Amino acid sequence: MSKLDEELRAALKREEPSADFAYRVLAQVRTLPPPKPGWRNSLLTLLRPPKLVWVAAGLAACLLIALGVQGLRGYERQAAETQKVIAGDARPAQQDAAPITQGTTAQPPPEVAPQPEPEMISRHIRHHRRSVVKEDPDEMEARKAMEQLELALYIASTKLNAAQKAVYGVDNPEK
Amino acid sequence: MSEAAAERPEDVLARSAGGDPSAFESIVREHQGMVFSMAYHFLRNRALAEELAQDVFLSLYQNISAIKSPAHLVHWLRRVTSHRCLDQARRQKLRSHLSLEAVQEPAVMHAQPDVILSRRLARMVSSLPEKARMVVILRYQEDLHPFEIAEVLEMPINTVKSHLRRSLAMLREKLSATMGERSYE
Repeated sequence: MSKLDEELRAALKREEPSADFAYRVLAQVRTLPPPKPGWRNSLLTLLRPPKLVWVAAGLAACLLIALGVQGLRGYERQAAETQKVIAGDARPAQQDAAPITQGTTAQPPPEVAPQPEPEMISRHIRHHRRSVVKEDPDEMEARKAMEQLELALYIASTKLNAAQKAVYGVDNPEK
Repeated sequence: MSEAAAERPEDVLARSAGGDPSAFESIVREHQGMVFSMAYHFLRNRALAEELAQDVFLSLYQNISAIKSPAHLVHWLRRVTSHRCLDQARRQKLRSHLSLEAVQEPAVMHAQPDVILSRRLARMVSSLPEKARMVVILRYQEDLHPFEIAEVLEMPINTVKSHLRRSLAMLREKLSATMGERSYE
């Protein structure tokens, strides 16, 4: 460091303003509107204790609502799929059963035991669906499979019943 | 040590940004020397320097939310003070009132105390061109490296170095002529 550098440092050393400088600045500051907090400070203010509780509660509420909406959508989707499966299975069953009965039109119509109405089937399935809502996915799948099996058995029994009646009618024409 | 002084600078800054006047006061007290000295060495007028420093702190109060850290605060204060000084000099044409040539050259001072030399040197610095003057103040008052000065004044580093080199050459020459046999090489 040269002598000039030292002299310059000495010549340009820091000096303090008059004693009341800070008071004067603050007096002027009091006349100004409060500074607008930046987004960063607003965020930090939210993370300080008094507001933090409300922020946490708000976030928890939002999370619960989001989960609820998600669950409801899942349930609706599941219900729509179940409805489709039922509709898809029930239609061919009715179509399959029809030719057997139509094929015996020449014969006097056999006395067929009253079939359960489709309304009854859907009521039965709705009852199952209500219980499905509370179960976990594996149980729901098992329940769904069981419903499909029940439906298949019902259709098979309907067909068998119709076939039996037709056969019985052929064997005993006097009846 | 006061409570505010014991507090971390980050916390003081955060409280000040939140509108706490006592926190802002502690910031003013901490940095008033730096801001005032920069203005005073540049303008060589206490009243003007205090007025300018006051304006800088009022501007800080209005922009405190933009300050990210204590280091950013110091950088911001230096930058704003420098630019305000340069604006002030342009407005008042200080150079027309006091040029290097106008500085009185007293007879050779062999055994004068260093206080006189310092005053004389400070007056010589104040007679430098505005930008060169601010470069010298930031270099020797604030002890900043040329690349830091370049950041504060928003100018290329080579320009800063060139200002420094030329200013020192001028001051050395002037001082050598004034102070006789004392060497400033």
